[in-house]
Amino acid sequence: MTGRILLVEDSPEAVELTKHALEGCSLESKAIKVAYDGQDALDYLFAAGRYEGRETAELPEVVLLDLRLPKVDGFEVLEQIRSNSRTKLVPVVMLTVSKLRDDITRAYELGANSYIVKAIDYDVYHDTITAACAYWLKLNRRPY
Amino acid sequence: MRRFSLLYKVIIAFIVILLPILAVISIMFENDRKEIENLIIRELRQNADESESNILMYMEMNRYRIQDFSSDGFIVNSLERIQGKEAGRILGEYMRLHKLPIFKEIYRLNIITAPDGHVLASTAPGMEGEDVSKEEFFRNGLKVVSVAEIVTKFGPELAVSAPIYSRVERGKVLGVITGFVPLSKFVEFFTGEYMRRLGALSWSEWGRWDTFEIYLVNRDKLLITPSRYVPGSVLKQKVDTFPVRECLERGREITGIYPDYRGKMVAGASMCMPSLGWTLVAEVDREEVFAPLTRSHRYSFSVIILVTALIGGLVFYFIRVIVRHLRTLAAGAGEIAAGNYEIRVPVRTRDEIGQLASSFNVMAESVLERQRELVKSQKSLAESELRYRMLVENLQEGIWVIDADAVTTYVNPKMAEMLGYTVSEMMGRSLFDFMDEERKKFTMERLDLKRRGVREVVDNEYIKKDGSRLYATVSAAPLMEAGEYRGAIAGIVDITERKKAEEALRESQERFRAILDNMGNVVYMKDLEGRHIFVNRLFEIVARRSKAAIYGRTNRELFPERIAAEFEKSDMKVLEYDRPMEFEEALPLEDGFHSYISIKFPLKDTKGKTYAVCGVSTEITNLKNAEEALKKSEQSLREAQRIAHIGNWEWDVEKDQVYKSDEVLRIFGRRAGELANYESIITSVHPDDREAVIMRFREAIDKERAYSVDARIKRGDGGERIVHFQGEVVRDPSGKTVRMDGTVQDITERKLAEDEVVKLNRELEHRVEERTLELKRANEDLAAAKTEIETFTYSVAHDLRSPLRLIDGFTLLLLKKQRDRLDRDGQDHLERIRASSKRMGQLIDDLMNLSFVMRAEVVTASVDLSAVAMAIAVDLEKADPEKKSNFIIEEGLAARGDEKLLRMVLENLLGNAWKFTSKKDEPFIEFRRCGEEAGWEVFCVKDNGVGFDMAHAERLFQPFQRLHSQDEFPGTGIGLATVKRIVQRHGGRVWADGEKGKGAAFYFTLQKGKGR
Repeated sequence: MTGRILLVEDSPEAVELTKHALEGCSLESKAIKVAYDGQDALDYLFAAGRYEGRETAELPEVVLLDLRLPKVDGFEVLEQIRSNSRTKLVPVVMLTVSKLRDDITRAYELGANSYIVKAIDYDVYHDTITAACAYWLKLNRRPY
Repeated sequence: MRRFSLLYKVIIAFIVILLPILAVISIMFENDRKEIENLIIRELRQNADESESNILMYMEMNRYRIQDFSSDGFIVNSLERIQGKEAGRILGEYMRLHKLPIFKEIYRLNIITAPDGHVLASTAPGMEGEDVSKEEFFRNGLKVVSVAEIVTKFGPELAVSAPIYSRVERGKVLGVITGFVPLSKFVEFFTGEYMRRLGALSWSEWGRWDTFEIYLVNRDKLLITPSRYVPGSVLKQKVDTFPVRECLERGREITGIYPDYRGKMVAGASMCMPSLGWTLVAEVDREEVFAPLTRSHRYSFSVIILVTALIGGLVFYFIRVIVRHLRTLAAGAGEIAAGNYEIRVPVRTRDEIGQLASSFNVMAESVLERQRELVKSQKSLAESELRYRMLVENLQEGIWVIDADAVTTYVNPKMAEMLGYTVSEMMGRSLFDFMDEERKKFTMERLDLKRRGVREVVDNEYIKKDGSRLYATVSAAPLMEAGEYRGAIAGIVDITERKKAEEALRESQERFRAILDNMGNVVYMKDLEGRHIFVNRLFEIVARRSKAAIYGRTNRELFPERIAAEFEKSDMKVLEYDRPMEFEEALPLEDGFHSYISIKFPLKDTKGKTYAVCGVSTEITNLKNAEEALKKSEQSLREAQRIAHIGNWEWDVEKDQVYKSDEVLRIFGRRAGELANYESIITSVHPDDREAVIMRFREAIDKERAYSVDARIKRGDGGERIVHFQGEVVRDPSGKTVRMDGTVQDITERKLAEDEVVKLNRELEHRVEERTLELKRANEDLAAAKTEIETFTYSVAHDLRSPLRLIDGFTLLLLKKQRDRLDRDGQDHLERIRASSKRMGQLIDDLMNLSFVMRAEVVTASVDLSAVAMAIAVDLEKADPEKKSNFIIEEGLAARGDEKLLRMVLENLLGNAWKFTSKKDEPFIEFRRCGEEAGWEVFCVKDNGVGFDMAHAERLFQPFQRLHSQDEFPGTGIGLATVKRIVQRHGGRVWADGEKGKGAAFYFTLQKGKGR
């Protein structure tokens, strides 16, 4: 099962809200792969741990990556994605509540393709996700 | 310049004449050559031209004939009716009988059937049946009348062919008729044979040239007429020569000189025959063409060489004869020049050379005669001269003879010796070379007198070879010959020694006078009558008269009578006792009496007779004053030493005696008489310090350097003091230590004070260390606290916002999906939850801002506040386009500060003003400069909004303090706290002014920035 979107998010509630927001994109539910911590996300991408033996030929079209994650935090996940020759070109969009300038700067320095702040107002969040999804899944051209 | 022998010159002249002659001859030959070339070329061309027209005519004739045969009715009819051998026989017979005799040039006629190309009939037997279908003459002959060169069993031939057309079938070719002509036939055109045969009267065979050749070349560059030189060459010899190429490739007919097919240089002319593809070439060997020229060349050169050799030989012979005689004469003359007057040259001929030789011999004879006479007179002259010379050269006086131009013609050895030269060095040199400019002028005047015949004795100076001067007395007389001035002779006596003595005396006197004049004593001399004969400068001052007014006068004439009497008395006493004596004398001067000690003594001449009294007076007026001053100075020194606790002492090393001031005794607590030697000083030093003191003293003596050492001493009363020894060693000129000078200073009090200072310093240092340590710990704590705050901030940013999102998100989902199940109140409650979570989010953001303001680094630059305010105003208007707005922002406002932080200040203040004027019909917001405070700018944001009660003015700037309800005006109450923080971080202050319902004004101060 390969997702078009890899959503890395620790809170199941947040995952639910995001999935809800992604409805605007009219995707199959299979298309969204959720990892609940950083290690899980990396295992999935590199076919390790419980994903050992997974067919890795297909990469997600975009990774939506939260910053605060159990086990391995978002920055570490980003860094590992970028340092692996197979995954280094995968578009990574940071999706987090943090508005801190330091966080934004660091994410871009590590090679994030985009940085989206999760608005508290769900209406706003919904619009944001719809727009991001439209951009990364429909408009964007990937090198693989 | 190099000398060339006569012979050599003649040869060169010969060559110079010969060369142009040769050049002219060469040019003439060249012209001849060209002329001949033009001639032969013209002739060849003419020849070729004629041959060409003959050939063309002949060929045309052949073609006509064959064409004529081809249309012969019998031949055509026979061909159309009969076939096979029968036809061949009939036609062969017909042609042999009726055609060949008509035109004798053609040797043989063939009829070839078309299209199989077999010979049907032939005038020559045995040709029938032969297949010639491949032959060029047949294939061309099918179409037109054509010509081709071929080789057959009869040899090289020319085939002329024409088609035989059917009379029955129009255009059908029945066969080809071909006539053959041997190519050797063409030679007849060239030899004239052909023309003769045609009836021409004469034709010179081959013209007048032995090597003349004319031939034809076909388009394959093969010879088609026989060669004169190569047998059997027809259609075999390749002729790839210049004219053939020119004709075939360019269609050009040429004339010129070039190598022919044999490779030999020829003169030739060519004719092109494009209709046949042939080239006609007429050639003659160049060798033959130019043979006459070459012959005449050879003759000419032979004659020139012969004539040249003849003339050369003759000239050479004559020159040799003349030169030999001249050499004999030159050798004779050389002998005479060398002094051999006996030489005679032989007279061999009677011509001019012979005459020259006998004249030479006559001349040699007369020279010999004259020489003999000369020797005789010279001898007697030499004897007389020798006598005089002996006389002059042994004189102890210098003799110097010059000529009218003052050039030295004679000096005797004494003269030379006097000037340090040798005689020969002086001879021929000008008299003036031996004197300086001044003397030269003087001498010239003297020589002018000589010219007038005056003899005189004068003193003069000369410069010796070594540069020193010769003073001399000169007795000079003019040398006159027949009343004319011929020079002068002078006897010169050296007076240098005398001059030097006079000089020395004058110098000595001068020195003596200078010394006396500059002495600090009064010096004077009086003769036995008491008249002054010498005084020095000081005397002039004392007597207040000049030397001139003093000399010759007595004391009585110079000084007051009573004083003069005193002086006279002492003078008399000296004369009486006849020895030096000392007197104390007094003299009244302007500033009172001056005392003198005078030493007077008699002056004696060389015979020991006293002729004057001399006196030297020394003023002693100031001596007493000096004594007084010394006493005073010693007194003050003692006083100074007592006050400064410094004593001075000297140790006489030789005598081991210590001299010391009173203060030394006081410091050491000793009585006078104690501390008399080195040992007593050393033993007074505290035993612990003694070694160091001794070492320093010794070092000072050994290494010749100053010493300086602190030490404790034991006083005579048992007390202990700390003293500082300082001083140096004094040596005599031989380097031996004679004395050690030094001071002793009591430094007990100072030492104690210094120790106290050191102790205090140490304590201070210790305290500083302690404080530094505390500070370091505090800093570490602070850093830890800062890290904690950052961690906390991060948590707030992330962890507080996350649940809020979820609350809002799920509330909205609830509202949307369960709307039917909720009543109005329920829906309203859910909306309130959403509003609250949003406000909470805003609160978190504002807190984050405040935290940022507290932590942020302030980067100072000049900030254009007007521009910042304008941008904020535009943003506010955009966010709420419905609202009426009226921003008034002063232009050119600038302040020094951090642009990001100052933007937050204005965002808050203008945002507040915007918010609180939202309910006004005529809102008004103003940002401008409101004055100055202690050099800082005061800015203000004023509005006509709801305002506030001044009683609450202080609370405004505290965080979370709000004066309005959330429903009235939403807000977090952190904005103004942030503003206050920022302004404070810039060093400024912020305050507010307002009235409820009338509007508010917020003031803040910032450093002046660079305005626009």
